[in-house]
Parts: sequence; structure tokens; C-alpha cells
Amino acid sequence: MTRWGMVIDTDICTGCEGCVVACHAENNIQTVGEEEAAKGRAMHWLRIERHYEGTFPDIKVRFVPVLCQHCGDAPCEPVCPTYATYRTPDGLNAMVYNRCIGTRYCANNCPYTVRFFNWHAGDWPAPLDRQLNPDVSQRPAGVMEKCTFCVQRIHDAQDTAKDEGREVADGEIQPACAQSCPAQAITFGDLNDPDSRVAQLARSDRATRILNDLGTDPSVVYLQGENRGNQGNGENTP
Amino acid sequence: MSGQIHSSGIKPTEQTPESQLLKPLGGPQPGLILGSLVTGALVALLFYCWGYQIRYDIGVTGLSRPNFWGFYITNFVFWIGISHAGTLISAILRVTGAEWRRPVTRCAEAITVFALCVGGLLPLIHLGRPWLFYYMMPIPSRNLLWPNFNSPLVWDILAITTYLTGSVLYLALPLLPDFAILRDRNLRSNPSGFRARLYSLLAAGWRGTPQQWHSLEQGIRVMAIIIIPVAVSVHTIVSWDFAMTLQPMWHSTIFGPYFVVGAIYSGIAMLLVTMYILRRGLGLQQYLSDAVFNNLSLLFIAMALIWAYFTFAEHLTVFYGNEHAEMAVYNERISGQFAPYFWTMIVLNIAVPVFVLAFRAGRKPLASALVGIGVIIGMWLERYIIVVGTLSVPRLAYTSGGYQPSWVEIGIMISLFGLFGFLYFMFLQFAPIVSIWEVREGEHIAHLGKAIGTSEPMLRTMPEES
Amino acid sequence: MTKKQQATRLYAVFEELPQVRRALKHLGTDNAEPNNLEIRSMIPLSEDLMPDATELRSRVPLLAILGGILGGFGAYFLGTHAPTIGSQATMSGPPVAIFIFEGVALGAVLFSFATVLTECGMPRLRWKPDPFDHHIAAGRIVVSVDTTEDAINDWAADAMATEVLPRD
Repeated sequence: MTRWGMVIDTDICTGCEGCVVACHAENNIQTVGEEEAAKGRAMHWLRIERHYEGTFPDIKVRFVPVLCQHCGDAPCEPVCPTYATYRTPDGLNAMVYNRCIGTRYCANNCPYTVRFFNWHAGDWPAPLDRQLNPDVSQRPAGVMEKCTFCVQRIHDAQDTAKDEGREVADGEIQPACAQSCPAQAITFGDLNDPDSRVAQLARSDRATRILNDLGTDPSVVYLQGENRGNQGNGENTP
Repeated sequence: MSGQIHSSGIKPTEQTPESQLLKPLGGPQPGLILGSLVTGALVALLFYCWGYQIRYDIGVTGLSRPNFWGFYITNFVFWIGISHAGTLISAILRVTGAEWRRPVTRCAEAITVFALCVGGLLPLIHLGRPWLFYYMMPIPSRNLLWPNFNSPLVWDILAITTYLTGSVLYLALPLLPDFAILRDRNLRSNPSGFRARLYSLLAAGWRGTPQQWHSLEQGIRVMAIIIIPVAVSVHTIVSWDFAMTLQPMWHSTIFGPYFVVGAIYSGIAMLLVTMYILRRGLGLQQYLSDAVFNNLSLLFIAMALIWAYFTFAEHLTVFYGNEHAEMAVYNERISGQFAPYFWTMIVLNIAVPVFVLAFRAGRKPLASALVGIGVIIGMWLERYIIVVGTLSVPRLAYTSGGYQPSWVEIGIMISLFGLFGFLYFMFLQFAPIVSIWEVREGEHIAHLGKAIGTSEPMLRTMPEES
Repeated sequence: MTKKQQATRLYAVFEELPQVRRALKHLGTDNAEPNNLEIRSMIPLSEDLMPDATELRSRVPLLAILGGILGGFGAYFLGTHAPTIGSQATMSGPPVAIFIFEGVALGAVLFSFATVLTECGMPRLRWKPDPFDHHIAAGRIVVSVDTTEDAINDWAADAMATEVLPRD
């Protein structure tokens, strides 16, 4: 069975935030504006966290892109009263906008704080509306959203492969973030396929997962140079 | 048999002027009408604020990431907590046979029902898309939607529905004989009036025969026994909205009992305040007497100590565990941005009640009502600290953020107090706030206990009214 | 005693409970059979009022239990009749216990309320006032019984007031 997953190499990430912008463009994520952002309502499905290490003049910055981890045992799923979020058989934590009535319980139970709520509906005054991706729905106000591993691209590749009577090849599906990273720090693929690039990278001795001690079984693996202390101490460093 | 009216309890052979209880029900009272209008204006404010929020999206609140819950959930837990007043008084004290509860049961049960009505609105108000609330109901539909019964929010719906239904019926049953009294009085004094017809309808044919009384008393007894575990389960389930998450200082096994204790505590506080207002406003000193306030204050101080014990246990456990994420929340609470609220809460909920109510003078009506106001504020702060205090300090500290309620949230909060008051004022004008027959029954029982073969009348007579 | 002879109903108001007890004892000795005896009061009185000490029975506790069982089953089917979503388990154990509990409570409450109403013959939306209703509201006890035309009966000798009305 497929399990979609991602490997992010934080040793290579330059913090350019190209992935953030690409994600916005691909998924019709609204730009909330200055006022709303000041209230803490900015919506970046993928965010780059900056962690400073050391003191001047030996400061190092580690950039960690954090996105929905598509947990195998997601805490956000059992608490949604309307089944608006659930785990698909191929390993995605899906978000069903139509069922969401906006209780925001899922966001409260996400330890990674990677869920975003549409406090207002997005606004794309002409001609900005021409940049909208027709494959992705626009969410109304009052609905929760988060990274979907670019499920529209996954389905698109699967449909194409089915039309051509073949399997989906490794590396054929590239979410917007993986596609746009200039350093190629993000790799996406099937973690359950031992020959896929993502599975090979995940077996690296630099591999770690965020907040793994909580038992969420995330599908996103981070590679970092030094295995910094306990991987599962719940601290903010991956 | 008329003697001095003492305010230190009900003596069975004294004339208890029920005219005080019947006065608000005889016709329009200026004080009650004014109260209804003022609170009615607040209800209008509720419609305005909520309508504004529905029209301009839930973004008009101050909520943000990571504070996805704020004032609305705080108030929700607060009001459901207040609703435990009635169950304690009218159910637990009834089951344990505490006779002093008799004058207090109805005003306490009324608080329960109306607090549940107010609290039950809040899960709707806090929804992002409230017009789709029925997605949470188990109604078969073409969409094949079924609620997720694993979710504590769905348990909330079940529990609050059950508790509200039970409380309404539990309020209604003992009202039947009182409505019959009002029916008979109004039919004699003004047979064609609106009140005569209203009470004839509400009394639903109550005749007062021994069979009817027996059924009624069995019904009340059974419902009292059922409603106690329901009340415990309701606030436990509300607390599990928090405890079933992974959030630091939410995911705690103590939350179930802690919230139930806190609910009873805040319920008694609201009951003391309400009783004092009724006592002063309607002149009910003979019913809501000093002895009743004293007894309730003793319960109150007991709940204060239990609540203090749970709070201490919770915080000590977190402190000793020294878990990174929990200590981040803990430090914000004890010495960080929530410290002013936390320590105010400790003073209002522990220091003031214990030191005031330990003295007999502190258990007098006014003093205990003032302490009650302090506890209401303190318990509101407790819910606020629990909800926002944890959410502002998420595990991944990069995403921590502050919360400022907007005018919409403040407006709705104030207007919900108004809604509660409005419902109460309406109730005061149509039903006796002290249960007439239960008080009489109490006197009868007390008298039976004392009188052995006397020729004194065992039921008091009312002066004939023309 | 033919029906035609029992064409009236006698209402008697008593001040005190012992008077009522004495009156009920006398009821059998008059030439009036106590048909349709009704005792009405403002508070529940002790149970030894009935002439032949009939036990007052109520089905409320039994039906409350029945209602609880039905409510519990109802809640169980309500919660577990759910479509399976993806690979998430439909129902886990503890939540089932929670809503069965709530279902039991709701069922018991509704059934006991309905039983009380049924046993009391309520709701009766049309109320026909009886002569001494206001005395009941004042705390006295009214006893009424079908009797013959010549209605001054000894058993009502203690009464504060009496009235005879044609029986309908």
C-alpha cells in the first residue's frame, strides 16, 4: 500500500521561502493582509522556522520547513465532530472542506500547529483571480485547511498513469514545494516503496521526525547533520 | 396562629405570608418589567453581535492561530458550570433528605435550566459555519453524513441535550401543583382573565388526589436520582473537550473531577448571588432566610477547599513532571503573561471564600453573595486561563501568539448574561420562585414530627381573599 | 342503589387531616356508597387516607428502568451506525460507553415524565372548576363523593363547608 511521505534536508535548506510562495500559488491560499497577519492569522501551509544556534560571531541558523506531517496516527482526526478530516488509505491526512463546520477542534489538537483557519474568505480582486489554480477549490470563510501534499497533483499523476496503463513512477509526483526548491531539499514519494528516493533518504542516519515521542507517526522525515540530543524530547528542534 | 415572623428558618406553626410569593404573579410589577426591558435590550445586543459575526465571518473575533478557541469556549464552559447549581440543591439535597433545601429548589433549578439554555448557544456561536451545525446531529441525510462519535464535541451535544431535557422536566414536575394553586386562585379572583386561562393550561389538569401526588413524588424522586450522574457526566464531558487533546496542561486525568467540582463551586456562587437579589428584590426574607444562606455557605466553603485541593494537585503534578511543553504553559501561568489572572483567581477562589466564610458573620446573606460574585469572576478566570493559557503556548514555540477579544466577543459575552437575566425575569413573572407546596409540605412534616395528638390544625389557613 | 339515586355529588371542605380521617371512616356507615371518592389537597398527605388502606402504586420506577434500557440500546445503535471513513476506526470502546450512558439517562428521564403524566391523567387541557378549588389553594382538604339526593351525611359533619351539585 502506498504511503505518501516527504524527506526534507534541513542541512541544505537556505530559507529562501520559494516553497512557501509556490505553495500559496498552487493551492489558492489567501494572502490575509497586513492587519490580519498582525493578529496572527497569516496562512502559510508550509512555513520556514528559523532556529538560531550559537552566539555571535559563531551564529548558525537552521531553517526548518514545517508543514502538515500527515501523521499516521493523527491527533486531529478523532476530534473532528463531522469527519471532515480523516486518513486516506494511501497515507494522506485529508481535509474535506464541505464537511467542515469550523469547530477548530482539529487545530487545537495538532501539536505542530500546522492547521489554518479561514477567518475570512479569501479575496482575489481582478486581475489576481487569474492566478488561481482551477484544480484547487477556494475555501469559504469558516473552514479549516492545511497542506494536502498537493493531492491534486497526486490524483493528476495517478489519472495520467492509469490512462497510459502504467504505474506512477517515482519522482513523477512533485508537490509545489518540492518542485520549486532551488536546493532540492524536499523530496516526495512513496515511503513504502523501498526503492523510491524518499524511502532511501528516510533510511539515512541523519533522519529524524519532529515530536516523534508523541506517537503521531509523521510522514515527514527531516535530515539534519548532528543528531541533536533526544529526537523525541518534544523540544522545538527537529 | 400568627406570630412574629422570624427570619431564622421556617417554623411549622407560623403564618408564612405566601402573599410575598404570589405578588409578582398577580399582575405587572414595575421592577420586574424594568428588569425584563433592560435584559431584553441585552438580548437584542446578542442578536446584533451574532448577526454581525455571521454576516462578516468569524474573523471579526479576536481569535487567531494558535488561539483557535477563546472567549466563546471560556463562556461555554462557564455557563455549563453555572448550571450545576440546581442539581446540587434540588437533586442531591433532596435525595439526602436535607429539609432546608425546600425554599431554594426552584430558584436553583431555574438557574440550571436558563444557564444551560445560554451555555448551549455558545457552541453554535463559536462555529465557523453555524448554519451547518446539523452536521453534528445524527440525522440521516442524502449526504450520508453521520457525526463522529469519537469526538468529545459530539459527546457534548448528547450530554447537554440530556441534561437540558432532564432539568426542564425536573423543573416542570414540581411546578404542576403550584400552577394548580395559581389556577384556583385566579379562577376565583378573575375567571376570565389571561392568567386564569394560562394557569389552567399550565396546570394541565392537576387535581391533587393522593394517586396523583404519589405518582408525582415517585417521578420527582426518580428524576432526582437520574439527574445527579447526568450532571456529573455533563461537566466531565465538557472537560474532556480539553483533556482528550494532547495539549500541555489540558491532557490531564484530573480534568473530569476538577471541572465537576469547579462547576458545583461556581453554581453555588451564582445561586447565592441570585438568592440575595431575590431576597432583597422580592422581600423573601422568610423563605431565603439567614439559615439557608448559612447552610449554603458551609457547602460553599467545602467546595472552595475541594477546588483548592484539585488546583494544587494539578499544578504540583505538572511542576514535578517538569516536562518541557507543560512547563512552558505552567511558567506563563504562574509568572508570565497569565500571572495576573492566575493569582487574582487564587485570591478570589481560595483566599477570600475561606477567610470570609469561616466566620459566622461572613455567612450572612450579603457577605456570602459578595463572596459569590468574587467566585463567579474567579471561576470565569480559571476557564480563561485553561483555554487561552494553553493555546497561546503551543509545543512548537515558533507559532505562539497572543489573544485579544474583539468587541463582538465581549458584546456577546455581556449579552449572554442579559439573556440569562431575561429568561429569569420572565420566569419570575409567571411562576412562584419558591415552591409553595414544598415549603408547606416541609412545615407539615416538621409539625408531624413534633405534634403528638394535638388538636392544632396541621395545615395553615390562608386569610380569605375577596 | 340505582344510578338514579346517586345523582348528586357532595363536596366537603375540611380544615385538618384528623377530621378527614374520621370522615372517611364514617363513609361506609351512611346510606351512601362511596362512589368516585376523591380527596384533593395542596400537599401530599400520608397514605393511610384511603378507606380500605389501598396501597398507592406507581409504575414510575419500573418504567424509568425500561426507558433507560430502551434509551441505552437506542444510543448504541445511533452511535455505531456510522459509515466507515477511510482507514479510521468507526467506533472505539470508551466513547460507546459514554453515549450509552447518556442514552440510558435520557430514556429514563423521558419515560418517567411520561409515566407521571399518564398516571395522573394529564395533560387535561380543559379545566372544569369545582366548587371548593380555592380552598385547596388555601391549604384545606376537599373530599367529594357521589351520593344520594338527600345528602346531609354524618360523615361530613366536621366539614367547614359542604355543597351538593348534580353529578355530571
